[in-house]
Amino acid sequence: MSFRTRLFLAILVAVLLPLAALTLGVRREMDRRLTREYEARVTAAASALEASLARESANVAARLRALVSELGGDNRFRLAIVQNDPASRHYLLNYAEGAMRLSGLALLQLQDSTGRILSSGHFRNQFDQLQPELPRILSGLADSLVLVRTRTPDTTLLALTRIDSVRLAGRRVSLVGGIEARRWLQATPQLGGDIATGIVYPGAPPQPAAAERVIREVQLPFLDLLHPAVRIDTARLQVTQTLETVNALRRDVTRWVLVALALTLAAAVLCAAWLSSRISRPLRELSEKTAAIDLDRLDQSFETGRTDEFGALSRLLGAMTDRLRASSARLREAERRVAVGDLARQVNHDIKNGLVPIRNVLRHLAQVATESPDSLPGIFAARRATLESSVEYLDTLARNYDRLSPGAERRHCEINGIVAEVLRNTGPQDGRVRAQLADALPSVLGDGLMIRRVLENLVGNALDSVAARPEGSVTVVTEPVAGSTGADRIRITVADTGAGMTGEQLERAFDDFYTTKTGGTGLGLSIVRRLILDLNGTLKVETEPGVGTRVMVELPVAQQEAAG
Amino acid sequence: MFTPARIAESITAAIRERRPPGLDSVHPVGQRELRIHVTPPSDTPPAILADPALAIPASMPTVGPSGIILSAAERPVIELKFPLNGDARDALDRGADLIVTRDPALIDYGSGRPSFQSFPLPWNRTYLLLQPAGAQPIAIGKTEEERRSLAQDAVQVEARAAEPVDWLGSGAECPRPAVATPSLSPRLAYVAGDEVAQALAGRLVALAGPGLSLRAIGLEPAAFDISLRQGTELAYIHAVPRRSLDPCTELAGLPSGMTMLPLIDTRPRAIVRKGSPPLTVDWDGAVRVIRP
Repeated sequence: MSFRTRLFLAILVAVLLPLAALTLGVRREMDRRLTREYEARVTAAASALEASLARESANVAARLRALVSELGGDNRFRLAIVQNDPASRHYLLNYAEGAMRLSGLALLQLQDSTGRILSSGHFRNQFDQLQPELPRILSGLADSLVLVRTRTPDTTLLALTRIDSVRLAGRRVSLVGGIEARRWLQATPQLGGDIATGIVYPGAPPQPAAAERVIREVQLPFLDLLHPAVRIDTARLQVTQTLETVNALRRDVTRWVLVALALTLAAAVLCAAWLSSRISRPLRELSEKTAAIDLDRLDQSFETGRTDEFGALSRLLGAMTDRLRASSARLREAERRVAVGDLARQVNHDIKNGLVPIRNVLRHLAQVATESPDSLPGIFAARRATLESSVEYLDTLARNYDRLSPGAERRHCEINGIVAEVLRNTGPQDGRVRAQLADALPSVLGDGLMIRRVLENLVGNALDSVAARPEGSVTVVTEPVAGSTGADRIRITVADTGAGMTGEQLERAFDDFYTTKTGGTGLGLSIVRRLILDLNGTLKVETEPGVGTRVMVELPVAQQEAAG
Repeated sequence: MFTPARIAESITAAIRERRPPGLDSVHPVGQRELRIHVTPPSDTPPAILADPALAIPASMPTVGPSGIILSAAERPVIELKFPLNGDARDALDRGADLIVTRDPALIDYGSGRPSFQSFPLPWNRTYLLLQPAGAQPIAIGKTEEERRSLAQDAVQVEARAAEPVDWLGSGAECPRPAVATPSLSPRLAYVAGDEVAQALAGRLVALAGPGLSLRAIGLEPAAFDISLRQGTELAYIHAVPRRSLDPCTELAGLPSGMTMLPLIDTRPRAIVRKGSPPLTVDWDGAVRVIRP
């Protein structure tokens, strides 16, 4: 996971978590307080409903008492009970409808002692129907309102009813009167717009599924005259407070929180991108500088003016680079000392090798001078060659070591001229050395002495290689080499038909002090390689044991070199 | 203004709409004459011309009780008052000479006034119980005793157990719409405002008991006609005239396949001020003033 991603997540956690916690807290506290307030309101509403129920019970009872009193003096009604002639029967059948209207009731039913309906106000043509359960059950609950579910011609009627009775002509007439329950419920003063009331009774149509609500209930007896088996049951007046307001508030809070979260998220993304870019830039720069550090390139600067952690890190890296630089210098010095030591040991060894014969000759001459001085001239003459040979060896050795020291100067050099001079210095070789020099070769930019030393070494090696072969020959070829922009290099090929080299010999041929020749220093090809590199040239060797060797040197022409 | 052209136009429109039997065409001739072609040819005017359906529409409301003030002059002047707003008894108090009504309260009031006398008019309306074929039958009103009980106690107008309606069985060849769907709703429909039909429906609902879940419903006339044609209710209470010159016209609104059970007959009463010009009752129960 990248630093920027971690930073982004950290900002999200740092910003969104507290915001979410705040939201949950606000919502929970809002729910708790509003629910508690709603419960109090619903309880108060239920109490008000109970009080209203008691008042209506008294009102219905008073109206029924008034009707009972009126019936007592109604001779026409009494005659209808007694005579039942068609004229009085119509009066009887219509009586309840008119009385109900006058008394302000929604239900009025007059029944005889058998339960037969004498007159019905809410359902005139229900006369002569038998409903004995209604007066019987209501008589047992005379002091309270009973919720009765009955019917009219075109609908069902839910009424809060009471019962009263009167004796006329020796017959008991029951008066069942009531008010419409739902209308009473709607007329009952409510405590708030969100408080709703409802009637729940067995067989009632299912209430629409309310989400969440607070409920208080008032129970009252219930009688369902539409049910085949009429029996007393319990109905409930429900006072409910829907939590729609809370839910709406919750939705609003959630919506605004989501908006805030979205804005915060967008701000966090921008902030994270900006901060991570700003914070990671010095890290990236430090990383790039650190990646560029190498033992050969310790010149990176970690200087900074920052005083924060990045500044401290940059200074630490700078100090580390300084230490690396010092260590690298010490390492180079150690390597140089090792090389010089190796060279010194080699020189010491070579010089000792050259001095041993001289010391032996001198000891011999000293012994002869002491023991037989007369023979000294003869002995000296006999050992002089040894002395001269040793001196020559040391002189050669000195010249070879001298060649190890660089000292180049660059100027235009004619390759063909240098090749001709080198071949001349080789002396007469009985036609074994041939030259194939190209005409009008461009000059090369370099040190003519260095080029000559290269050719002397190569030609010398080639001649040494063919020395043991009478038919062996050495060929030196110069030619221009065409590049992409024309003739930009000059190739010098020194080929011999000598012994050639094995692969192992070829791999070590350019190592210092490696030689296969008796009396060789092992520095020739090593020096050749260094010189060619100093001349910006290339060296290629093709060899095969028993067939010969081709050494190809390519040097850049002067124009290109100068242009480059 | 009633011109021959307007009369001819009105009758032609009625002929085109209803196709009454025996009447072919009507043409105006001059300003005071109509020429009527009848099929088959006859020397006497066809009775169909007495059909109120062929009456010329006038720009006056035709609902509510009507009051007529008669004059005893040589040529009676008839003043029609439409409608009688408020209590119809007020019309009697304000000097109306004739009121035709079924309102028992109005009849009772008129009969109690010494200056008025009332007499019954012919039984001119029959209430039918209609049920689409396949509907759960309402087994009420099938006996004479049940119909008599309905007439005596259920309705508050002058009624009797229904007697057969002649034209109901005479329209076998009349084109009648078919009921599209069987009844689905357990309702007993009647035309809203018809108190007799409402009372009959209420009584049938009461007698059916709560087990059938039957309930009455009053529909506006247009909605009632549509419902009746589609047969969407369990049953209908429908009033028809007891006499009809054009049975097919009456039966056109009654879909075929419906069971029709006549329940009760009703009749109005005429309340007439004493000393008014003589009256006669036409074949269909309409009251007509006789020229002195």
